[in-house]
Amino acid sequence: MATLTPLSKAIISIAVIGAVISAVWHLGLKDLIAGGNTSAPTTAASTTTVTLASVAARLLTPAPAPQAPALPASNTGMPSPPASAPVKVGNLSGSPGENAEAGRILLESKDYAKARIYLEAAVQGGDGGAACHLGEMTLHGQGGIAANRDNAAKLFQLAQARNIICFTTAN
Amino acid sequence: MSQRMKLSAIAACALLGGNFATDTANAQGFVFGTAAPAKQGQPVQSGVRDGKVESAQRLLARIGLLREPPTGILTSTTQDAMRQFASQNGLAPSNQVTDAFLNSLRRVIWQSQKWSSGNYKGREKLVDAQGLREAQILLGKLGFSAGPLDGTFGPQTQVATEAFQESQATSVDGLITGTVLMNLRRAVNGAGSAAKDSLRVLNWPDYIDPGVLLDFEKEYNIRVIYDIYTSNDGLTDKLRGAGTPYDVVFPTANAVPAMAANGLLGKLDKARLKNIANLDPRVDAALRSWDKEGAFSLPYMWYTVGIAWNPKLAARAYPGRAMDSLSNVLDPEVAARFQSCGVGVEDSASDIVPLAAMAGGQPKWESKASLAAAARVLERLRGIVRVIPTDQYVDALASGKICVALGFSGDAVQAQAKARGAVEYRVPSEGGLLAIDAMAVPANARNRRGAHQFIDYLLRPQVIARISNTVGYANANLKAGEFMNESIKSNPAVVPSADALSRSVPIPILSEQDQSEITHLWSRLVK
Repeated sequence: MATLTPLSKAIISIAVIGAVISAVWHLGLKDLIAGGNTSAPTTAASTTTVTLASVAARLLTPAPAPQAPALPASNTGMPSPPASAPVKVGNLSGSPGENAEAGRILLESKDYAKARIYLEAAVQGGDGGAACHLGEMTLHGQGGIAANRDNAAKLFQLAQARNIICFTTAN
Repeated sequence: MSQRMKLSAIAACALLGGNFATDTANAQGFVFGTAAPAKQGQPVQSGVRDGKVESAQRLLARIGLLREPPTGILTSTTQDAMRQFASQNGLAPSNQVTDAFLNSLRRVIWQSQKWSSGNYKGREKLVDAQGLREAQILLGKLGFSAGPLDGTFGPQTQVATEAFQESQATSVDGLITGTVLMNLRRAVNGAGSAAKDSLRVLNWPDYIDPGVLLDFEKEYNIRVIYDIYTSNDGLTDKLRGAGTPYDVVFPTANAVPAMAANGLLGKLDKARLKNIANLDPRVDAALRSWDKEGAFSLPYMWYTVGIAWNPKLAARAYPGRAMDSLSNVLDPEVAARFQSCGVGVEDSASDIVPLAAMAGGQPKWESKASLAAAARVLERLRGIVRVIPTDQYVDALASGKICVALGFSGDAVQAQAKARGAVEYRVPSEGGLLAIDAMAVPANARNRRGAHQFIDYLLRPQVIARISNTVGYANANLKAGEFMNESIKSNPAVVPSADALSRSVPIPILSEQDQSEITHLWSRLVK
């Protein structure tokens, strides 16, 4: 492992996070279809490896935009607020950088729920800065994300793999 | 980070006032002859193990005349070295280790290592007369007779200190520094003084709160033996050395990859660290800029390398100038305007050279290009910018001997405290360096269990907050904030703004080739 290049690590990290997102999404989708049964998150971990390869392949294609609408369910396993999800679908066609910037601006106005959608899209597109912001939201449990230090750590490490340091003033 | 010192508030308190440098220099004047050991005469016979011979061997080894480890047995090699010493210093040749011979040996070392004038041991201060008296009493209680309790540092005190250091298997030099006094206090009064189990900790000078060690000993019924090093190279040497191994060490993060690659560090058993969830995941992620998998290290304290200045003096020299720019020191035309009030860089080549490379248009460290860029920048600074020894940097800033300089944030915080706020520090607008000192367990540690207990103890919010409050460095604990002094946690020199940090670059990992080129570049600037 010691000889992996930062790029390959980045790809692996993205693939792992993508796999989790994907697994949870599939479970969340099932819930929606089944009429809101909420027992899904417990099995998320076991399905991670199954979808790893397919998700990695999907993430490596240079067209993340069509996949973006699939993101409302976060990597925390919590179904996102249904109200905000459909609204943003049409606006997520930007590049990861553009989505990250949109998310950052929404964060400044403290619109966490909307910011989250853009940031998740940007992270899926590989934007390190967005991973910092999303990590911060995950650490503090904002925008409907359940506070989770480990998930936050993964996002910060994803950013680090892209040479972005997620330091912020402790407060 | 090749050289630096960490001054703690404790050290500042212990060495009261601004005049302590001269006071303690007098107090610790090495009184030869007047405080000679009581037992005179009785030369030592060869073939018998003897303490005096051992001292002589240690001292001869220190000046490079003897290459054998001290055994206490008067060998012919030892006698050769003694003759060589005598002839080098114009003394009558001697085959026996007499008190007079030991005294001459100490006098030469005292002078050649500049202990009398510098008042420092490496980068750690010697204690003052009061601390010395306390040390003499404590040495006596441990059965190491330090002679009269006079608060002056004489040969007998040095011999006793050497014996004490020897008994702990720490660095032996016979000098009573803050670390040695701290060890003496715990050895006599600490809860762990009678404990069977011991833990050997190796850290930078003035980088812990002594109370933390006391409390840890009490809670875990363990004896802590604490030793220091003053550079990452020094740490590497100690880890490679033949002496008793250490259990917990604190390398700067950029030195971790090489230490791990050379098999000097062991992997951490994170399952044993139940307080690991207190770690700030942002700092922990940043640590992986160096320790890629995060397998060998966890963050202890973090800091930046940036620009410090005295607002009053700087405004007089160059009114209206924005002071948070690297150009104030690294652009010769601007720096020249501050020459009247003093412009400098801290004498730590492996930090300042990467900053110079950044100023020279190489934001990311790439050996050749960065070295060339740094060389171009530094070449033009000769004769304008002073290189300030790390042990004088804090005082130079605090006293106004320099008005603008590049150096460690922690030193600027110390200068601030000394100068009652008349020093400012920022991460430069062009970007600064970000560094983390890590906690790690050497591969050859004997007490891995105790090592993990200690690291877990340091991951407690109250414990690490107490250390931050004492040493003036930021920790990496999510929950420590509420236990930290306002003057530390809201100080932008300790915890820079998110914006300032976003401009910081992790301190680069330097290859041996880089290191030697940097040393070469630096030697040209120092001249």
